[in-house]
Amino acid sequence: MTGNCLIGVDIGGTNTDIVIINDDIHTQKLPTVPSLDPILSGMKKTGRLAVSTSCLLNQFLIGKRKTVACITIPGPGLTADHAVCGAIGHRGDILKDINPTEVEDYIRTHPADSLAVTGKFSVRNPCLEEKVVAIARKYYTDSCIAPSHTLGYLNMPERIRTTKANAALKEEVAVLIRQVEKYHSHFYFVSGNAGLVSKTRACENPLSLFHSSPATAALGSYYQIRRNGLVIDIGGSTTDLVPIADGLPVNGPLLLSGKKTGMDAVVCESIPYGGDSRVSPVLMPEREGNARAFGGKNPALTDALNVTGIAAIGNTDFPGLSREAAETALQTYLECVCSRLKNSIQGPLIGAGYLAPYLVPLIAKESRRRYYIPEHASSSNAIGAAVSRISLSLHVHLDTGKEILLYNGIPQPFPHDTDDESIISIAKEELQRRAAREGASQEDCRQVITEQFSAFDVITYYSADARILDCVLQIPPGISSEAP
Amino acid sequence: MRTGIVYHDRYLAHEQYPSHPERRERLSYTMDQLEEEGIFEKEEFLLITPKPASISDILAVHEEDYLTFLERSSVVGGYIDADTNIPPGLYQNALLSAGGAVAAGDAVLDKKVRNAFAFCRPPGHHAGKRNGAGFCYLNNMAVLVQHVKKRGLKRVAIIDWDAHHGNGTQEIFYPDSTVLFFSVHQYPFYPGTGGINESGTGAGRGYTINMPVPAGTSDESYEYLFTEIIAPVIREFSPDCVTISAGQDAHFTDPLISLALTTKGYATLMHKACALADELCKGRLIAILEGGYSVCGGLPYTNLAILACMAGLDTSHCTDPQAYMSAFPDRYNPRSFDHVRGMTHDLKKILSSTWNNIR
Repeated sequence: MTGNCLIGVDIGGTNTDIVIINDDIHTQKLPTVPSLDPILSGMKKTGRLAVSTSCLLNQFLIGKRKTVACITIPGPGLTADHAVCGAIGHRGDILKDINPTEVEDYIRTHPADSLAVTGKFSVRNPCLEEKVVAIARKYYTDSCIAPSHTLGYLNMPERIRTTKANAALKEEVAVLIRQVEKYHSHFYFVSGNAGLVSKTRACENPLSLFHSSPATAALGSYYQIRRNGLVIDIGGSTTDLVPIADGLPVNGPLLLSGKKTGMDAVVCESIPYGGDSRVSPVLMPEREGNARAFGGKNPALTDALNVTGIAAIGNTDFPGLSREAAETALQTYLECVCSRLKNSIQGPLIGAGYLAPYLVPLIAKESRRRYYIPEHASSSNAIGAAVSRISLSLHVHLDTGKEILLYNGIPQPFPHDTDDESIISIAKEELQRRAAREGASQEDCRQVITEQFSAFDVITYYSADARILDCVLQIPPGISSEAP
Repeated sequence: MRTGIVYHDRYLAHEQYPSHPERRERLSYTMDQLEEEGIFEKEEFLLITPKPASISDILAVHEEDYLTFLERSSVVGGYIDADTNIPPGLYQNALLSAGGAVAAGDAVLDKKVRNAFAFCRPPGHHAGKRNGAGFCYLNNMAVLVQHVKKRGLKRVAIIDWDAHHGNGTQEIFYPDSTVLFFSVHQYPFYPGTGGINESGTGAGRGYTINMPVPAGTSDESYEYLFTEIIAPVIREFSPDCVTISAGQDAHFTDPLISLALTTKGYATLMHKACALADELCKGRLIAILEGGYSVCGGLPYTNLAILACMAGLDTSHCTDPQAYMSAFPDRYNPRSFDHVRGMTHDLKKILSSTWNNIR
C-alpha cells in the first residue's frame, strides 16, 4: 500500500465525500465547489487516493461541449462520415496508405477544440491512425487528440463514438489531474466498472470514468454489509439503482445517448429525482441549487421530508412547503422509484447517500422488500473508491503469419513461443506486470480472467501456415486485498 | 423492416480436417469484418440464433436411410467421397446448419425481418436426397424450400450463384414445377453436371435452368444473364419467395475456382435479386451461404456487400481492396462474355417452350 491508509474521494454535483480508511472509517462531506483546492488542501497527504466523479461526464452530457473534429479511415466496406483515404485489412495489412495532404487539408478546414481519429481495423494495425495523429500534432496538443486503436476492440462505429467522447473529455481529465496532483502526486481514478485506473489510462480513455459514482456507491455498500441486492443511491439530483451480484456491481454495456460504446460499466438505472429536486408545487425532475434546508432558494424533496416529520435535516424553519404539497411530492417520489423496482434484481434494498436512512425504509415498505442502511451510507461512494482495486483489461491479438502481437492495439515484440498456452501465459504476465507497475499489490494481481478467446489456423495450400488468436484478459474489479 | 443474420458460434465448429478448404476460417474473417463494421448493432439488422432443424423438416428432403447413415457415422467418423468425410459430431452440426436455413425462412414468413442471410456451415447444395457430396451433407436450401412450402408458400425461386453447379438441389426439385431453380456455374468443372440441356423432367420441365459459364467470366456476364434469363423467367413464374444459394466462390480471388466476379459484381446481383423480390413477393428473400474459399481475400468483402444490399445500406464503397485488383487481369477472360452470349442464345431456345417471356 502507498502510505498507510486508503483514501476515497467522490466528487458529486452537490457534495464531495471524503473517506479515510485505516482501522476505522472516517468520513467527511463538503459542498462541491468549482475548485478542488479547498477540499484537497486539507486532506491527508499520505495513503492511496482514489477519486470518483460523475461531474466530468455530466458536463459532457448536459454542459457546453467542446467541438470535436472527426477523421475516419473506413477503407472498403461501409463508409463513415469524415472519411479520408487509406485502408487496413482484417489481418492488419496496409491495403492503402493515407494521403498526408488530404489529411492536413481536412484538419485545416475543420477547426475544432479537439480531434478524434478512427480507422477501420486500426486495432489490427495502428499505423494509419498514428500517421494521422502525427500530422494533427501541428494543430492540436496531445491532450486534444484521441485515436481509437488503444481501445483494442473491433467495432468501428462504437470506437468512433467512444473516441469522439474521449477527444472531448481528455483535456478536462488532464485539468482535473493537474488539480489533484498539486496535493497528491500519485492517485487513481475509479472507472465505471468499479475498478481503479491510473491517470494515464484515464487520460487515454476518459469515457471509462462514466458511471464511476454509482459504481463506487455499490462497491462501498457491499464493502460495509457484504450483501448482494439492489443499491439505491440517493444523491442531490438523481436516485441511482445499481444491482450487486456475487459481491460486485453488475456490469453491462456502457451506452452513450442510447448507443453502445464497446465498453462496460455498472448497470445503473438513473431516476431524475434526488434530495435537491425542486417541489413547485409538485416534484420536478430538475435541480436549482440546494434545498432550502441547506440555504437554497427553492423547496425541494429534502424539505418535504422535514415538513412531513420524517426527517429533521439542516434548517427546518423555512421549508416553503405546505404539508399537503410535501406529502404529494414524497408520494410521487416513492411511486416513481417503486415502479422501477418491479423489474430490478431480487434481494434486499441497500441504501446509499445522505437521504437513504429516511427514504429507503419508505421505499422498502412500499415495495415490500427488506432493506439495509450501512453505517456510513451517506459516504458509501467514497468508501467504494477507497477500497476498490486496480482493474486492467488486455485485448490480445496474435497473427503468427504476419508476426504480429498486439496488446490493446499496440504492437509488441513478437514472442518466441506462439502456441496458445504460451501466448496466454505471456499476456497474463504482462497484464500482471502492468497492474503491479500501477501500484497493485501482488494479491490484487493474482486473479486474471479470460473474458473472450478464439483461435484458428490459417490454411494455405492444404497446410496450416499461421495461427490467429484473439483473447481478452482482465484483472477484474473488486475490493482490494489492502482494504481492512 | 430489418435484415436477419442467422448465425451461431457452432457454425465455426464443423471441420472435416484442419486443412480442408471448407473450414471454420471461412467465416472467421467475415465475422471480423461484420463486427468491425458494427453490423450487429445496426438497427437495420436482427441477429437470429438458429436451432437444429427438426427431423421432419430433414425428412421432407432426404431419405431416412441416408439420415441414419449420417447419424451413425457421426459417432466415430465416416466417409462419403474424397472431398467429404464425416467428422465426429457432424450430424448435430449439419442439423444446426439446416436449422439456420429454416430459422431464416421462419423469420421472413413471420415478418420479423424483410429478408435474411443464413451464415450456416456446413454448406448444402451438392447434397442429394440420399447422398452427401462436395463438402455438403444436408441440403440446407431444399430443407428451407420444403419448410416454407409447408408453411403455405406455393412457388419458390432458387438462384444458385455458387461457382459449382448445385446438383443436389437440382436433383431434389427436378420434377417439381413449384420450384424454379437457376444455377450459374463454371463449366466444365466439379461436379460435372449443369449443362443447359438439364432442364427438369415431367411437370418440372423448364423449371431447372442451368447457365454454365467458362473460366474467367466476370460481372458483365452475370448481369447479362440476370437481365436476359433470370429476371424475365422469375417475373413470369411469380414466386412467393426468392432464395439465393449464395456461394461466393465465383470471386476473382477464390483459390478453388477460375471465375472473376468482383465484390461490386456480387453487390449488383444482390441488388437485382432484392429488386425482384420487392417487385414480386413483398421483398421476401432468403440467402444461404454455400461455398466461397477466398477466406483471406475477397470473401469478407463480398459477404458484407451482399448483406449491405439486403439491408438497403450504401454500398458505394463495398469494393475489393485496390491491393487485390492486381490479381484480376490474370483471372478475367475478356472472351468469356461472347461465350456466355452464345450459351444464352442456345438456352433461350430450350426455355422458350416453357416461358413466354423468353422468345
